[in-house]
Amino acid sequence: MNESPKTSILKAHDLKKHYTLKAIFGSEQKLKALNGVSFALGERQTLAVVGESGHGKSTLARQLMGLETPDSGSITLQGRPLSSYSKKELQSLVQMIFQDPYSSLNPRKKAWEIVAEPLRINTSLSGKQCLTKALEAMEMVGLHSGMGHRFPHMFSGGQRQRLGIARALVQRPKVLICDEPVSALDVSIQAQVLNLLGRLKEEFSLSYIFISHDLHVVRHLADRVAVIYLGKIVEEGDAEEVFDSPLHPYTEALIRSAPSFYEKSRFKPMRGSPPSPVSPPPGCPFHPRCPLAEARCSKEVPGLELKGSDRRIRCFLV
Amino acid sequence: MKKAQKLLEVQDLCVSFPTRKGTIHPVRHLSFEMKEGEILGVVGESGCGKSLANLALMGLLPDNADLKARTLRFRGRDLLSLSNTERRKLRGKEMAMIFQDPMAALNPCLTIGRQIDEAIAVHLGGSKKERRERALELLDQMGLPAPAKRLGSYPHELSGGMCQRVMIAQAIASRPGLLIADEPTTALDATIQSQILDLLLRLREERKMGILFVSHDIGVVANISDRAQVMYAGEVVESGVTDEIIKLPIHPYTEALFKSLPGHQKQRQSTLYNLPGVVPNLLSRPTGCQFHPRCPHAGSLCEERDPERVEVLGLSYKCHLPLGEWT
Repeated sequence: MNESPKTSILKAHDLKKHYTLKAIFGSEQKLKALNGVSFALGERQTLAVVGESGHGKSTLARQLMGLETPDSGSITLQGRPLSSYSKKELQSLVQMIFQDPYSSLNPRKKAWEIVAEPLRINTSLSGKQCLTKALEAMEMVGLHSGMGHRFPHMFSGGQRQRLGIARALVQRPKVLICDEPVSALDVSIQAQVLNLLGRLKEEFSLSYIFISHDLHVVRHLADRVAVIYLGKIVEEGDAEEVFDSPLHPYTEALIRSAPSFYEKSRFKPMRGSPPSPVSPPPGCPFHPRCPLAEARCSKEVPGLELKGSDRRIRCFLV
Repeated sequence: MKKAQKLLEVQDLCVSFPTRKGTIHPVRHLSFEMKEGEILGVVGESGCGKSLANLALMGLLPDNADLKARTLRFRGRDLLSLSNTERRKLRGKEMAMIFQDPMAALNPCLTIGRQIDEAIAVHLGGSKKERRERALELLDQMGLPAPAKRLGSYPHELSGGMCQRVMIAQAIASRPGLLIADEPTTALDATIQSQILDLLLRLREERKMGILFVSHDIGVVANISDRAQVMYAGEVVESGVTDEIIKLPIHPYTEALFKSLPGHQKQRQSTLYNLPGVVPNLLSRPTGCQFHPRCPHAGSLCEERDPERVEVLGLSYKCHLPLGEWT
């Protein structure tokens, strides 16, 4: 079913994660954050996960980091199930970059201590060795090793994001999970960070899971794209192909609603707001907003079908 | 067409703050005009004085700020000579503002209905029933589903996009002639963002409302604005018709901003333009052209002398070595 690219480093199969919401009075409700997500991330590949907020992108990141265990389904990393890794092993292989460079760094620690934190926790290196490695990692991301003794508030936004990247890279992981790494940054700094991520990928043979809602950014650096809607992948495929000829109406609407720089006419808003994941609509979850919806869409749930060689789409009408 | 009245006239607007280490000038010699029903986009990195300029226009600067301007006129009225009371009557009624984070701008303890009603009661008055009807009508115009139900909701019960609509409803309740939108869509999803932009465009059509649209997202400004101005270190470095600026940027800073934007060209590129350095520290501004330390074209002249503003064919720029053909 899954077209695995050459060698896939990280694979997810039918991931489900449901949260229980409890009101003080009233009944329990199930929030289906992930509802059967499968994908494969190839080595040195960038898989972008796009979608609106509240559709399970960050939940997916937490499962992949091993911070939470999915209710069902499996994740395999380098051919071994994720659950068979110890926490230390896992953290040396998979690391994460966060959105907000201000709140993700401890203000009471010096830059090198922040970067060395994973080493201190996961390895038995001495303080001196940690310092050397941390400064090395800082050089890798383009920060002077002389800055190692500064505190986070002495860095600019872009430099802080670099610090976060250095911390993620200090153990030379294989997979980086980037949760909206540039959406809090100015365009000029965003460009610097995107270029840096591109360079590091080549230098250290990294694979990225890149979570973002900015489609221009995704188009710039993704090899593959998975579009997620209410905890389900609705379209997945080669990034260029998906952007040039989106097949699912949701993907098309997403792309069209991103204000484009060179084509004014393309910008058209999508109607309606995303449904609540607590009470998703019956049938295809996108049908209330879909311009093409037919009677069938509100009754039956479409499956994820393979189209062409490696494109998957969840829609009756394609 | 010459008759179209000037909505806003700003000449040499300067804002300065005394600090312990010396006086800083976050906004310097800002001059621009807006016509009725025009959308003016303002772009620039953070720390370029965009928001402060907005606050100055609204008369919401903190007490320690020092505001100077040669002209500051709104619909022909001199804002500088107005008393605080007169200014307050104008603010919210004829010029309104919406903010970046709708969740933070609404009062979490009051219902949506109360908050919209407040705006209507202060500026328009009317009986309770009339005000409620007006509020319903506004929410309906904003495209908020089930407006009657929403009047009794609290901000936390609404999504970010809905809160943004409520804030816009509040701002336009008294039919202002000028809406200052300070990064109104930055905190929103792309899909919701496009709905809000569409809404603003519609409001402009229906009410001939002028919008001062501030954003760091050039894609958004390119789509929504008629004219645009690019700010750097508190100064406007380039301004003109949006389409022309995008087609042919004159100032190197504008070009650098465009080139560092992913998706600025149809084809995918391996790397984006890297604009080195950061916005200058206001306490130690560079000599000459403010942009010269980061400018790829800068020469010795740029370091020595602050460029004069040049105005040609409806464009204006501030650069010794402008890009493009005209020099």
